[in-house]
Amino acid sequence: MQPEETPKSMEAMLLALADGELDFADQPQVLAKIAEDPKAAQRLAQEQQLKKCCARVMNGPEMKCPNELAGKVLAMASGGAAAAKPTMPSAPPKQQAPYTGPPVLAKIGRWVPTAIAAVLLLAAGILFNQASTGGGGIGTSAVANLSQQDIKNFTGRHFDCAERPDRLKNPTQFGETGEFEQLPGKLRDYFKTDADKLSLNLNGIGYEYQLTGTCALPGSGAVHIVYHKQQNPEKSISVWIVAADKAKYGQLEEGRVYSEVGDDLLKPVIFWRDGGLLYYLVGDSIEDCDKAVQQLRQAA
Amino acid sequence: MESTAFRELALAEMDSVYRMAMTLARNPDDASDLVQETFLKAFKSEGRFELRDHGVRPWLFKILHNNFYTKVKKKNREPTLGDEVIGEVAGGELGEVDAPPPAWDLEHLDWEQVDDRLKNAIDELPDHYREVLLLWAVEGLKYREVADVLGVALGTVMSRLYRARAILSENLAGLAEEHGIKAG
Repeated sequence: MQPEETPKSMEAMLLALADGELDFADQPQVLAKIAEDPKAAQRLAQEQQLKKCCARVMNGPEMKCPNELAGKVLAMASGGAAAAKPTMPSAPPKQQAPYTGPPVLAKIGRWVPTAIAAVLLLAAGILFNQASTGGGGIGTSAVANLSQQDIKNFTGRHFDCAERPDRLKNPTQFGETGEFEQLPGKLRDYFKTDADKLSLNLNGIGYEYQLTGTCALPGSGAVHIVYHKQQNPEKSISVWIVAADKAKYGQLEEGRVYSEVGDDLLKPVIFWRDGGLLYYLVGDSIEDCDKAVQQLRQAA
Repeated sequence: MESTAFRELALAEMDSVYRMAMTLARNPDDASDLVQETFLKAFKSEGRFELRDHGVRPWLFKILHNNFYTKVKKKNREPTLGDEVIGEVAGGELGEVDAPPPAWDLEHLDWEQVDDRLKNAIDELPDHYREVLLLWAVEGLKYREVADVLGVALGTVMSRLYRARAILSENLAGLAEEHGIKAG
């Protein structure tokens, strides 16, 4: 402890002694106090007891890292170690985790097998230049025309509107808050498309529809749909839909799912084209996003 | 440090990182996200890591801490009472304004009751108090290391710790009193 920062009260010095942080020079004074004052000795014992109790209480079984999560983190680490080798994508993980579910990278990899995994691995600071989407390297941006600013806009808008759906524009055009039933029909009219392709119900993965509004992102005529997780309303999913302009989006392969990551590595923008529409999805839980993409594409 | 060695060290701290994530986020879903973000960022910037006495753990804590509070700030979008301000409001230097917390004697109390009461009291503490408490009591960091992790002054750490302990002591004294045990 630095002298100028050392609290000079006996109480503070007692605490510092109990914590093993008291300067050697101050120790005689405190020890003398303890020797002559039983209450000081009691305070010392009390503080040491309290520390032990806090350690016990704050380190209960619920504070142990779940196996599933440990598996995901191990997958990140071993994926990186693997990616450092040239033949890496098929290399086995360096460490085996007791996790039986799919790791994050594996799940993401399912969307666009190597390109997205490569993006994430790159984002994790790992050199991995084996993307297979047409020889363009890692950059799905080149395919999808999504810049880093676009990604920021998506994640920023998701953050704003998911937290405060009342910020959505023209919501009444698409029905009432929380009333999903009207939405597909309203969107069918809005996009002048087949209603069957607009089954946007995410109840099956535990997300409740909130509200829809118009949005200038990713282009004019887009709509932004917000869902909240039923068990945890702080988790949300945003879906944007816009009519696919062939001149602009024609290079997106129909039925294929793309992804881009920005600064927030766990909030990729996932997008795909189905029929005449483009879908963009951002959420607070990467696993739920994966499920949502599957759900929406299955419905379409 | 070699990447493989770094990752081995980092992975060995998974429980500690999760513990801190749970302490801050207070629910497994958000804690899980925080842990994944923390390790991703750590792996991304492992080249900048320098091994210290306590290994990689304080560095991971720092990433997690910054990540959590960045999210909190984004979420609130409004100015919050900053750490420094809290320190000032709390009275500056440790021990100048507060009387010693009440005494209690745990030996005469049932451990389960103590743990329950303490757990509730800890749950009710503000985030920045619980965080200091965890780093100090469970993770065994020194005041200076806690200050490094949190990016605050040493005095702020001591002040937070003092007040957190005082609040917990008040609770335990209350429990003792309920059981007819006189304060010493």
